[in-house]
Amino acid sequence: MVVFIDLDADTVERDFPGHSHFYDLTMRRPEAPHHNYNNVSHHHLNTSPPLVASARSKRRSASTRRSGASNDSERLNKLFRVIGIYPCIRSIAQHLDRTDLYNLSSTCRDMHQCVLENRKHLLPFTLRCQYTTTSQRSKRISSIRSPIIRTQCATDLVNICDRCRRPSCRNCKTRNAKPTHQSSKRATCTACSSISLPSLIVDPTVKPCDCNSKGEPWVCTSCASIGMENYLLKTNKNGRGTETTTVELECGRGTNCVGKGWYTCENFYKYLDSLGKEETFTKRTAKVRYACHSCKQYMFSKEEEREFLALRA
Amino acid sequence: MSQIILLSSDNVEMKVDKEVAERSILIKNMLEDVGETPDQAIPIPNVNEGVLRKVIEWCEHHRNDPPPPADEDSDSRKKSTDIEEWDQKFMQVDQEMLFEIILAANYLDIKPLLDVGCKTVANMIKGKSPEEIRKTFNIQNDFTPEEEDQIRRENEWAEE
Repeated sequence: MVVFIDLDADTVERDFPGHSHFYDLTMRRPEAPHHNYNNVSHHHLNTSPPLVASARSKRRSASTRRSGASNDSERLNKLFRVIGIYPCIRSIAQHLDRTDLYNLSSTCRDMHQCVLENRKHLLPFTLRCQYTTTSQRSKRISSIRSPIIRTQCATDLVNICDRCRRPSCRNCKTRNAKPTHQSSKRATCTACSSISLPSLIVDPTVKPCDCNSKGEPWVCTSCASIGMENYLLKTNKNGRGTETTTVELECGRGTNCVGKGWYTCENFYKYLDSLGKEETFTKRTAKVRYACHSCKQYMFSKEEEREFLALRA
Repeated sequence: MSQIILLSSDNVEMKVDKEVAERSILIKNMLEDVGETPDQAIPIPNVNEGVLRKVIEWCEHHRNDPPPPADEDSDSRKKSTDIEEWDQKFMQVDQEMLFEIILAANYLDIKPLLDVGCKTVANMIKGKSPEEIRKTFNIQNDFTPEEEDQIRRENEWAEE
């Protein structure tokens, strides 16, 4: 008996379990002839998928045929064309870390092959921690946060710092930024705190958050240490911290506040005024956005402050 | 202000300000080579009417933007996935259109538009598991369990 196997068909493994060596060969073929990517920058005017082998495109059309809808297969073909063109995948890779690229390449065979073919050329462009080369600074900062000195930055889990908007790796990310802590909370006034949760939910002005929340704030150690310096400054004040003044603080619910929109903070230190921050604090009518330890309010950035004031205006 | 005519792949002519069209390096170089504003329509064979209109809309809005720096790679550390608000709204299209805009930006050599498009795609991928990415792009998992296991074991991305 003779068995004919169509190597272009996707059904080989299904029909002949254990005969999938054809894909093994295509999947890892380091010696397979590639295009010369040293000249890749000159490819970018070519809209045809130059980096995609013809056998693959055949297999692709076979796999998309299976999915049924022609619109969907067209869309997928365009996605693979985008991924297959070097300037496009390079531009995408610039905003991703290695974990993301690994996950992307693990979605399907075509994607695996498209991304893996360019692996060597994409790696230098993946998201790198801002502290990768500044090891001294990294050491200094990490010594503030913990006794463990981290000298090497990770490349597999790099994200954008929520505050400075620069990439930082998991090693350079602040350790105490947990969603359950004050970093995710903003202090609310007594009026807002006292009303029941359901009434807050039914409030038509409160919209559910539509951001792509990462679940946990990602703040680099540098930003965290800046915040911590101020934090210590405010809470310790020459080791005592008894001098208090009354400052009005904005309610964390902002324009949705059911009270006056502000509340009184009694543990705010006077000496902050004498630290070159007069311009912020002289206008008592413009509510100060700094809060003390007892208020457990997040330190707002200037950008946030501007945003908030614009919102109020 | 002088205008030029662009001809889409489906033979639709569009009048555009020369300054706007020159956001495309392809068109800019071509006009420089020709030397004078051509009377005839410039064919854009790889871009259909709908996509070309979107691309022109983007170019109109960014007509006064400074040209992107030549050596952009040196600044790669500062890159973030933040997208300008207008661009974010502009990119709120279906996936097919998004990919077509990226392909057109690549063809017409409009680097900032390519970058915005790719950032949008990157945001759709960032922080997601393979299964979530599949769901986002409606990709079918055609790996056999053995292949999946092999990929997991090898993890080529872990090596420098």
